[in-house]
Amino acid sequence: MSTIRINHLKKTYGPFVAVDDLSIDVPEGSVFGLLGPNGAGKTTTFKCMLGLAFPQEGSIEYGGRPLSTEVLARIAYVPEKTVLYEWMTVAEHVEMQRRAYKDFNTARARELLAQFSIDPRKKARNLSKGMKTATMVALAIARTADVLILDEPTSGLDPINQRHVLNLIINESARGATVIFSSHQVGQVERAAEHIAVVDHGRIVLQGAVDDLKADRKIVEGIFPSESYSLDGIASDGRIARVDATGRIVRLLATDGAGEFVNRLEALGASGVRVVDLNLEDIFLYAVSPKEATADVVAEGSK
Amino acid sequence: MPVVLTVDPRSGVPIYLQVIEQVKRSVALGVLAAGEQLPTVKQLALDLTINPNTVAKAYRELERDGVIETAPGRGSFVKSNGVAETSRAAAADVARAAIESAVREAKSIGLSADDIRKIAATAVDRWFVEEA
Amino acid sequence: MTYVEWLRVRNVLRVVAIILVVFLLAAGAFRIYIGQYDTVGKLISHIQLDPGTKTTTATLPDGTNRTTIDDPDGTHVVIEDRGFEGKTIRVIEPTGKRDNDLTHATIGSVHIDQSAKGRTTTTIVRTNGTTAFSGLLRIAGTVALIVATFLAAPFARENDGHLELALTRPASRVELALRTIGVDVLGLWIVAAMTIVAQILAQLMFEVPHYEFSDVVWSLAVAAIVPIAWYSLINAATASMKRAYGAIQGVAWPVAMLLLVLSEIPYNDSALGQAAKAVFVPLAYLNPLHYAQFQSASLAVNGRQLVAANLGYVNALAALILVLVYSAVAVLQWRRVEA
Repeated sequence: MSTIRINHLKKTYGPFVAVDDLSIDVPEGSVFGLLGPNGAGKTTTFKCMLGLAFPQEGSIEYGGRPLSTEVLARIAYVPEKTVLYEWMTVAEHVEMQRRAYKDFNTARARELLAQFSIDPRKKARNLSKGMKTATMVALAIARTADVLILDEPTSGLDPINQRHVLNLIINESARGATVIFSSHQVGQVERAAEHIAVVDHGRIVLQGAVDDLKADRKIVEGIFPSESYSLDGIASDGRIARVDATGRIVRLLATDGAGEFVNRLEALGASGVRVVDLNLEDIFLYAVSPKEATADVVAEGSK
Repeated sequence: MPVVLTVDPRSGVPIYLQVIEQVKRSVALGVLAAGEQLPTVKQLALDLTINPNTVAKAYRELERDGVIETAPGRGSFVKSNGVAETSRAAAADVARAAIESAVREAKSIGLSADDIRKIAATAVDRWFVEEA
Repeated sequence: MTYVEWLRVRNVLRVVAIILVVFLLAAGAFRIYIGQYDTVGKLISHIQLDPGTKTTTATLPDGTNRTTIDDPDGTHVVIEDRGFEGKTIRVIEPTGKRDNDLTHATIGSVHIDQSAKGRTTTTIVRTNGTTAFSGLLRIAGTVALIVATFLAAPFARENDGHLELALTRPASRVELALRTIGVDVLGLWIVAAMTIVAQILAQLMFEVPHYEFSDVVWSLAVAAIVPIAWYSLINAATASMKRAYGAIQGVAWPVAMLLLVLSEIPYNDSALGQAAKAVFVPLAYLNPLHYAQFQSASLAVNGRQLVAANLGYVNALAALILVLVYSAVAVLQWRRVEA
């Protein structure tokens, strides 16, 4: 199974537009992180990918082919909300999956459940939210799927189990699986994902390789001698995503060519011009809620 | 394999560059000896909790830079031929990055080129006194 | 999903089994209670109230206890007690009933037949005449019909927060739906079978049953299909629901019964009456309960017996059509359900 391609996906629920003109390319064998605030459309996108919801427009291709039972057999899914049957035990869920999927490894499932300290005899209604999530993760990883789609796979888990899930994701990727996961924890995505997309209000506001985004996106900061200065058209340059001007301090968010903007600022008379690196959290916050991002960059000033 | 690599995913520096720099540093310092085996891509990814393709990318660049060589099926090893040059080249890379960073910082604070050269000369004099 | 439905069915079967066991225990308790009664003796003491009644008892070679009672007013009673095989009571009395006053009745396995000759009437009561097996099927079908209400709405139960699990399997939605229905249908038939077994066991406590199998085929068809039609109706009504399906299951019986009653009222010729008739009578044809008619053929006189059998086949066929139509409606709805 090769590239997964989402083409101009549009999904509405009545008057509400959940996803609008969303296009994503997920290269085979990569780990793809989907970031975005609550209600941004991440879960809806996953539902459309799995045939759980029917989009109004657009298509989803798995190696050029649409979703079919053959494709579904190669996908493992961990949904965000609890879908376990409250009245069944964990062991019965394991049996259910064993019967449904040819590639289900019961021994591995039991091993994973033990790693998360889940008692298979417990009924699902007696599990905490985190344990339910962990059970779903265990059931998914117990298969040798080509594609893993994980919606908030660390939700409700303590930090140790969160790290464990992350390691499982890394292990699956090392095995050659394609992993698409969404998380509120930018740090997790930063570690595990090579590609990311940021979704906000149903649209993609940012997409790219994490390494490229970090290498290209920089804050170029300069201090002008007085409060009256001209930026000489820098602001209208296509590579400048934002201009924050507070008093004599100017901060440019450059998506490329930071070095060039350093020179231009200096040429315009700014001093103390420096380039500030951005980590993924900064990049994400700038993409969705700029006000908070500015404060963080000032506070951290990471290099 | 007591390889001490650390990466900071929260830094603005791409992780694969950090891995490359850390390996070069280890080679330059002799922590990684000539011919020594590096952890597998999967193992390093799990140890550092980072993406395995990122590790693979770092290893590919290290191989292109002549720091390591990969034998298919056997693993990745620190290059044993020309290790002296490699170490020196690696060391030079590390030092270059550090010095460039320092110069950039100094410039941003407002020092002139002459100021910086003076400071650099003083520092070299101080730290190389023992060699005299 | 099939496995999940099978677990649900198993739980329901467990409950049904417990109820049937309780029923059997009650039957057993009753058996022990009446075992203390010498019913023949009680009968005899009633008849022997008249003075001058002569009673003789004899034991026949096959072990039957025969008691003969002769009343001076001309009543001649013969009671044959064959123990587990039942009793036969023959009463010849000088009443001379007319033909249309003669009683012919079957209550369970008790047969009562009267005949008249001249000025005497002969009444024969057989406590273990044959038992109509179709009666057992009738009861089994009714139990399955009730249980069907609880097993119904399997799609709605999946819609209630489990679609992410149920529908991401490597099988088409139609296939998953049909397999689920298959499990439920099998479960309902097992319920019917369990009920039949329970009835046989209960009867065995009292007597050796002798079954007669008239009307069995159409009774079996009606008993097997009408509960499935009922199940399919509720399924069709709830296949797109996520929450409120429990309410539908709850009101299904009262609403269906009400509609049935409304369809059978003899409306007058007023405009309202005709309108009501035009609405409720056709609705009855869509109502599975309308076909749950288990007319006892042995109550009928020969001519009507035949008609009952034919009506049975028609009912079964109509119910089968409802099964197919309602199931199709349910499955087609479920194909478009979104998580």
